[in-house]
Amino acid sequence: MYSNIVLSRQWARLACVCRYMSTIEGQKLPQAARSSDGISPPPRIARSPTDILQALAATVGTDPSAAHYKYHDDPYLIPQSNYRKRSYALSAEAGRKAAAWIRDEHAELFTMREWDPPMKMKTPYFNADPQIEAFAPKPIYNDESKVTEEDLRYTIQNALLEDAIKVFELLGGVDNLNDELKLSLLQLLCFYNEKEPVSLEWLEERWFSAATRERQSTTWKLGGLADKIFTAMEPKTSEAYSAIIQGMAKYYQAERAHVLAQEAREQGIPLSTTVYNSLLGCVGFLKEGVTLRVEALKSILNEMNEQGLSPNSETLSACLRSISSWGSGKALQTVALQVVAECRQLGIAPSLSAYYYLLCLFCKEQGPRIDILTNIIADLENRESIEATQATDTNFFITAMGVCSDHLQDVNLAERVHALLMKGDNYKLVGDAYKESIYYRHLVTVTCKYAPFEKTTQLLDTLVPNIYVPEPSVMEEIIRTLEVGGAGDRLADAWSQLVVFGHAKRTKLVEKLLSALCNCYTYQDDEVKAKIRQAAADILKFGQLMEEREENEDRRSPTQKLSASALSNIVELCSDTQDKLDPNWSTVENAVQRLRDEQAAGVPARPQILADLAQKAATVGKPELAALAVTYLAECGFEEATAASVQTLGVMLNRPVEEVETLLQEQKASLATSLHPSALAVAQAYHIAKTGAPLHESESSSASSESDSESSSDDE
Amino acid sequence: MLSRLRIRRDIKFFVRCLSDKPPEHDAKMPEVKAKDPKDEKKDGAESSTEKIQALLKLMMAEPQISDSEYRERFTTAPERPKKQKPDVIEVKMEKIEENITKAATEVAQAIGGNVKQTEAELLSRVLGKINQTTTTLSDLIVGMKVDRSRDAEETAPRETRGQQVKRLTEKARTVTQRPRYSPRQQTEEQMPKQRKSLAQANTIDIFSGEPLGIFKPQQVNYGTKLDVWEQLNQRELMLATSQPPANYFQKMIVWTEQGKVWKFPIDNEQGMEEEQNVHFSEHIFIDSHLEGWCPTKGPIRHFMELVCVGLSKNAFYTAKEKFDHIMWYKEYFESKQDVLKEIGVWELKPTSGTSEATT
Repeated sequence: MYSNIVLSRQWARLACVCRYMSTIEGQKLPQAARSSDGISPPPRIARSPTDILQALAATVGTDPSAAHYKYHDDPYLIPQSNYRKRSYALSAEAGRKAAAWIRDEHAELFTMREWDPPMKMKTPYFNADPQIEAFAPKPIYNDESKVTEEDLRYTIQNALLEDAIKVFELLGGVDNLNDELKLSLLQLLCFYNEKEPVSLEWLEERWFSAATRERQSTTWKLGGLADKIFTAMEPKTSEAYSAIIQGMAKYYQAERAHVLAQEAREQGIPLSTTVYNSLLGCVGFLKEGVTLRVEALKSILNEMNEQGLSPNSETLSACLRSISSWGSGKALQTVALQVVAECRQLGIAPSLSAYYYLLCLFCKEQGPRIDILTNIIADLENRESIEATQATDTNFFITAMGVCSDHLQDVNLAERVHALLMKGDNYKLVGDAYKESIYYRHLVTVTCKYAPFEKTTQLLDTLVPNIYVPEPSVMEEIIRTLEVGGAGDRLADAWSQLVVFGHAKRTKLVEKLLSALCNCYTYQDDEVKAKIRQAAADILKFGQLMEEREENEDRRSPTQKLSASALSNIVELCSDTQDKLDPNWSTVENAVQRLRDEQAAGVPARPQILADLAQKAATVGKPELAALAVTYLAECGFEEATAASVQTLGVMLNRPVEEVETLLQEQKASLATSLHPSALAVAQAYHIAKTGAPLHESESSSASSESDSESSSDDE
Repeated sequence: MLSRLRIRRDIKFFVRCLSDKPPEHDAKMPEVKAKDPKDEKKDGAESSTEKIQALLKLMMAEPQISDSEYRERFTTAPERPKKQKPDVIEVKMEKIEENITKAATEVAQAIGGNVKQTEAELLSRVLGKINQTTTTLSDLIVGMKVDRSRDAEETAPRETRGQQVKRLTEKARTVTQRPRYSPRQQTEEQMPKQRKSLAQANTIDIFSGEPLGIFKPQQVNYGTKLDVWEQLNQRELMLATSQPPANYFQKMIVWTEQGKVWKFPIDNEQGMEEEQNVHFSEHIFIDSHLEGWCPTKGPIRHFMELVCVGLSKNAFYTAKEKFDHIMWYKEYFESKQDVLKEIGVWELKPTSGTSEATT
C-alpha cells in the first residue's frame, strides 16, 4: 500500500520536474492543465505594479467631514480658508522643491550609496540596484559637459526642452545629427513652441497655478530653432512637414501653416489627420466674415476627404472650436450641428471638448435660452466611462455647471451634472483648483437659488468647508438663502464661518449677515436667540479688534467700518434681554457710543430700534444708556426722538406720558434742578428734537440754562 | 436698503407664483375647497381669517398720528421747499405692499371658493413664512415684520434730517458699491432676475443636424504618426487631469509611477532587468570559464576555484561582470607566465597538453 502511494508521489514529483525542465527556468505561466495529484494552481494573472494599490485606493471613500489628505499632517494647522489652503499646500511642495534644488546644486554629494555592496562603493551612483532615477541628481548640461546622442534622447524623452537645445548645440547643431533625432527634437520644439513646459513632478503647483487663459493670438516663434531645423532637413519627410505644420497651427501661425500644407500637397507628401485637425483649429485666422470662414472650413474637410484621411473625434472638436470662436448666430449653430451629424454618421462620438465648444456656441450670456445640455448629459450618462482625450476636456464640467446656474437656472440638471462628475473616475476631469472652485461656486449658487431649503443645507454641509470654501459672493447668496429659510442657528454659525474663511473684514457681507440675523430673530428658540446675540456681540468685538490691530500695524488700506445700520442691528439683537446684569449690555453701550462718536458711516435705517432701546434701558435700570440713545436720535434729527424721549422720561420718572409732556413744557431751569442727570439729558434731547435747532445752539442754550440753574440753586 | 431687497425678493416669489406656474393654483384649488368644510366646523377658523384681514388692512392704514395732528401738537421746523427728485425705486417700493395685497385679492377672486382663505394663503406664501396648512396670525406677522415698520415710515410726508442723510448715503452707497465689488458679478446676479419671466428654454437636439455629406465611411486612415508629439500630448493630458493624491494608496501610486518605491508585488530583482534572461546556471557554474587557460591542478587552480565559489555566491555582479572578473585573473597570470613557469605552477597539461598529444 505504502509503496504504491510513495511511488505515485514520486511519479508526481518526476512529472513536476519534467514540467519544470520543459519551461525554461520555470518562469513561464503554469499550465491550466490538471496535474496528476489533483492540485492545479490557477494560472497567474499578470498585474501591473499599481493594480493592487489601485484596488486598495478604491476602498477608501471620500470623507467630506475631513480635511483633504494633503492637509492631514498637522491637525492644528488644518487650513480652512482658500488662501490658507493654497499656501499650506504650496509650502509643503516648496519644501520638496528646496530638497530637490540642493540635490541638483550639490550633485557631487549624492553619488554614493551607503547600502551599496562594499566593493562597488567607489563607482558612481548608478550602481545601486534598483537604481532610482527620480532620486538621482538631474544631469546638468553646460558648455563644458560632454554629451552624446544618448543625452539628447534622454532630454527629449523627459521633455527637458532647454536642456535638449543645449545638448543639441553641444553636439554641433543640425549637421551632426541623424534624421531620427532631428525629427524628435523638431517635434519637441514645435509642441512647446520652444518654451520650457511645466514639470510633471510638482502636482500642487499645477493644481493651484492661476488659470492662464489660452490666448488666441499668434505666438509662434518665427525664425526660431524649429524653423531652422526644418529648413535644414533634407529631404523633407512627411513627418517633418506634419510636425512643423502642427506646431505653427497650435500657436496660431495660421497663414504659414496653410502655405506649408499647400506646399506638401503639391509635392505629393501625405499628411495626417492630426495635421488637418490643427489646420481646422486655426482656419478662422485666414478669412474674415462668417460665410467665408465656414466655406474655408468646409474646403479643408473636403481636402481631407480627397487625401483619403478619415476624421476622428479631435477633428470634430477642432471644427467646433473654430466655429464657437467666430461668435454666435443661427448660421454658425446650424453648421455646428451639421458637423456633429456628419461625425455621428461616421460613428464618431463627440468628446467632452466638443460638448464644451457646443455649450460655448449655444448658451451665450445675452442670447436666448437654449437647452442643449439636457441632451448632452443624457448622452454622457449612457456612456460606460468618460475618458479624457484632450486637455480641454477639463473645461466641460465647469462650463456645464455654469450653464445650469446662469443660463438654464435648472437645479435638477445641475444635480445630474454633479452626479456625473462624481461617478467613477470622472472627478479628475474637474481640472485644477481654480476650475474646481468655479464649478462649486456655480453649483452652490444654483442650489441656493432654486433648490428646496433642506437640500441646500445638505449640500452645504457636505461641501463646506473641506471641499469648497465659498467666495464672498457665494457667501452672500448662502446668507440670503438661510434668511429666507429662517435658519437662525445656521446664520449664527455663519458668522464664525466668515471669520474662519477670512471674509470677516468684508463689511458688506457682515452687514448683510446682521440684517439677516435681525430679520429672523423673533421666531427663533431661546437657545438660538442667545447664540445670535452672542454672534452679534462678537461681530462688534471683532471690528474693534481689527481697528486696534490696524492702528498698531499702520496698514496702508484701512478696513471699512460697520455702517450705522449694522450697528443698530447689533443694538437690537443684544438689547433683547430683561436682565440688568447681562454682559451684552456692555456691547450695546459700546455700539451706541460708537454711533454717537460718528465712527460709523451714515445713520441707522431704522431709528425705531434706538427708541426702543432707550425705553428698554430705562426699564432695566440703565438711564445713562437710555439718555445716550435718545440724545443720538435727537442729534441726528430723527422724528422718533421726540416720542422716544417722552416715553423714556415717562419710564424713568414712572409717570404717564401726558404728565411728562406738561413737565417738559416747564422751564428748563426748574427741570435741571429737579431731574437726575440722565433724565435731564433726555429732556434736552427732547428739546433738540422738537425745536430742530442745530447742535451748537442747543448746547449754548443748555450751557446757559445750566448756569441759570446753578445761580438759582445758589439762590436757594 | 435691506428691507427693500427683501421686498423685491418677495415680489420675485410672488411673480413666480402668479405668472410662472398657473397650474399650481389650479392644483391648489381643490385643496382649498377640501379644507373649507373643516374650517367651517372649527370655531376659531373664521375669526382667524378675519383677524388676518384686519391686520392687513391695519397695515395699509395711516400711521397713528396723522400729519396735521402731528404739526398741531408739536412745533416743527419750517418746511423748506425741496426739489422733488423723481426717485423711481422709492415710489415703487411704497406701492409694493399695496400691489401685493391687491394682486392677491384679485387672484383669490378669480379662483373663487373661500376667497379670504385663498388670499391669506397666497399672502402668507409671498411674505416669507412658507406654511401652507396653518395660516396663523403669528406666521403672517413674522413674515411682515420688517415691512410694517418700513411702511409706517414711508407714509411720513416730509423728510427729516435723519432720513435725508440716510437716503443720500444709501444712494451714494448703491452708486459707489458697484465698481468696488466686481461689476461682472453684479450684472451676473441681476441678469437672472430679469430673465426670470422669460419663456421656457427651447430644447435643441444636438444630433438633429443635417450631415455635411463630405466623408464617406471607408477604411480608417489617419496618415503619418508622430511619436514624440503623441507622447507629449499624453503628457499634457496627464498634467491636465492629475490631482493631488487623496489618500496614502494614491500617494503610493504616484510614487510608484515616479519610480520612487518598490513596485508591487515586491520583487527583489527589480532594477536588474538585464539579468532577467540570463539562466541562473550562468551565475553559479562559472568553472567552465577556467577551461582552456587555467592549470588543472596546483595552487593557481585551487585559487581560481575559490574565486569561482566566491563569485557564484555574489548576488550583485552580473554574469558578464563575473566573466570579466575571471578574465582579469587570466590576463594577470598570463602576464606573470615566466615567473610562474619557473616555479612550476603553470602547466596547462591536461587541456592544451592533451590536445597537443592528440595532434
